[in-house]
Amino acid sequence: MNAFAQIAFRNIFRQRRRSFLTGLSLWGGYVLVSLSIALTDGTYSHMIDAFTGDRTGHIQIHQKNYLEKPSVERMIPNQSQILETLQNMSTSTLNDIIKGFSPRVRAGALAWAHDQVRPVEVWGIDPEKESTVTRFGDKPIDGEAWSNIETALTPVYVGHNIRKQLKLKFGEELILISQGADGSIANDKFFVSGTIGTEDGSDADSLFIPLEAAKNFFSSGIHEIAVRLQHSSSADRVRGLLVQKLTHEEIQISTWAEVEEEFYKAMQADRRGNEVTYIIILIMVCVGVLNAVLMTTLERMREYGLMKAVGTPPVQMFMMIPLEILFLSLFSVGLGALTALPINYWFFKVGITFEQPVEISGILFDRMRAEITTSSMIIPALVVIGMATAVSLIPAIIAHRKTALDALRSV
Amino acid sequence: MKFVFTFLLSFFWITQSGSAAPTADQLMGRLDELYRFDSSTAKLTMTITTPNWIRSLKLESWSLGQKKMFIRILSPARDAGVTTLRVDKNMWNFFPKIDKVIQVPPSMMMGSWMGSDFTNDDLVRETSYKDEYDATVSEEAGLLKLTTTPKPNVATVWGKVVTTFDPKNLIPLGQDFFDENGQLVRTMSFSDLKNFDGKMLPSKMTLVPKEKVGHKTEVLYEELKFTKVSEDVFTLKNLRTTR
Repeated sequence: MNAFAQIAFRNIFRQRRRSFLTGLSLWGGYVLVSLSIALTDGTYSHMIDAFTGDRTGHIQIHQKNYLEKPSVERMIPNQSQILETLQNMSTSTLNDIIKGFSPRVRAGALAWAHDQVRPVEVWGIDPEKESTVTRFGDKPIDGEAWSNIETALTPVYVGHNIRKQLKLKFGEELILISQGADGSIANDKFFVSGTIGTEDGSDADSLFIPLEAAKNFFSSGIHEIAVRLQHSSSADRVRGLLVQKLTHEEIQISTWAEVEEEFYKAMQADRRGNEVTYIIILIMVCVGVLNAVLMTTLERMREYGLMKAVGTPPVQMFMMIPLEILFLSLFSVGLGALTALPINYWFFKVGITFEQPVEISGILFDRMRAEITTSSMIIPALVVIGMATAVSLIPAIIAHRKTALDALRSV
Repeated sequence: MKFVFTFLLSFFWITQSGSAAPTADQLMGRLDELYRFDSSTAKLTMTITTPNWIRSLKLESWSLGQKKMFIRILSPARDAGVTTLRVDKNMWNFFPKIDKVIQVPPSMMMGSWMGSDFTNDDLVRETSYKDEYDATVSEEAGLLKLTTTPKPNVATVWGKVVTTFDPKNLIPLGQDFFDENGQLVRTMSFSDLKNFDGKMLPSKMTLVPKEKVGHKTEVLYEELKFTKVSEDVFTLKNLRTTR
């Protein structure tokens, strides 16, 4: 077999131009598919980061069924115990995985100012903790930080749509009316300390209140705990660990994919669409390989006839052609990996900047970036080598079926 | 509260009216007669129970005829000073913390009053049983049942209201409210007879909505006087006064 492997390897160099063209298509196929996967992975990784970093976090804890039917009454049971457990996990066993967590009060309210009323989404947050989970600390604020405000009223940040519709200015009073968690009518005046986020951002209809003030206003505990991990890929594993630790039957622990189910499903559907593109690229590569190998096989038919006539075992004869393609594809893929790596890296570092940012679910994306992952390097290698070797079986079967006499009679 | 008052006063009328078994028309006429008890003041406690919380409100109320009512929340401190004014079919709430009077829009009339199982509509509804309902009286298990169904073209959320009376003293024991599909929507029970200003009336009412498991609202009358109340009580100006 070693001798046949050597023959197969040397055959690559007998028709150098043809081998070069076959190798080139294998190389090109690998580079294209690798870049496509890297760009898809990078784009979605960027989107997931944008989503989870904007407000969702990677994991969320709620009272059971809160996500299906949110209500101010549906507070997380055993809040202090859950927060303590999270604190312990984030500082000990999972300190390299959990980046931070943020308790939140979430409810709707009617905002009233200058005789205008509109519904708002109220977020009761601790700015310091929220900044470990989302980009809250990096969001532009046109106004003053809560810590700098000295007023008897509770300071709040309002989104751009709220500011515009209620004609609010810094320092003005804003009235909020809602239902408290205890059935009371929650009503109070607040101090507008600034406008948060951008005009097109996801916070345009949101209103942020300090966590403790929100608890008092709604007579409630917390409705949500958002957890930030080092990377979104750990979400399922950490969720499993949290389910083991937090055993209260009335709580629900969800990953970002469950919280943002629609986005996740759309992303998965788009991924399936991209896979079809990869398959088309690979089929084109394989057709080229099949053509080249078939031509080579037909040209060498006399040679095969002679080998059969001198008693070469049929299995070794059959294996020689796929072996030759295997060597060629291994070489092409190796070269392709050396080429794809710097290209993917460039797309990872620099990427493609869109002239017009694209908005998806309230979050703006201005750049397409790649991500170098094992799937972008290994999957195309295995698929290219596997498919090229598989199509080479067709000429191998043709050569194998010919008798020595028929093969020797061939041109 | 008007809803509650309606029944309290109707029961009073019935208990005063003698021992002869009343016909349906008589009972409905007597229910409508309750509007003749023109003014009252009351102190009461409303306890709202849900699967998630229990809340007690101490209230003070004034009524004048069927069309005017004023309620002030005395406690808890969080809600103290919140007032509700009803004049005809209009209703306003005043919230001292934000210093705002808010008129309840028609779209909110079926909404809860202060988180209770009573709706805003219960407070403003002016029902004339005789004009708006057909009724039958029957006896079941030794109890007197008045079954009222709305006449065609009458705008109401109820398909049927069944009031059960103790035939001995004609004091109501309970009321079942059915929707248009005949489904029981809520029940009201009456208990704890008490002498109010010389009249025996049930002091406790418990409203249980059937579609909301674990929810109920109890109203306990601590004081009820049928004294003259000034028209000045029922003004938007008075709505804003703290006491």
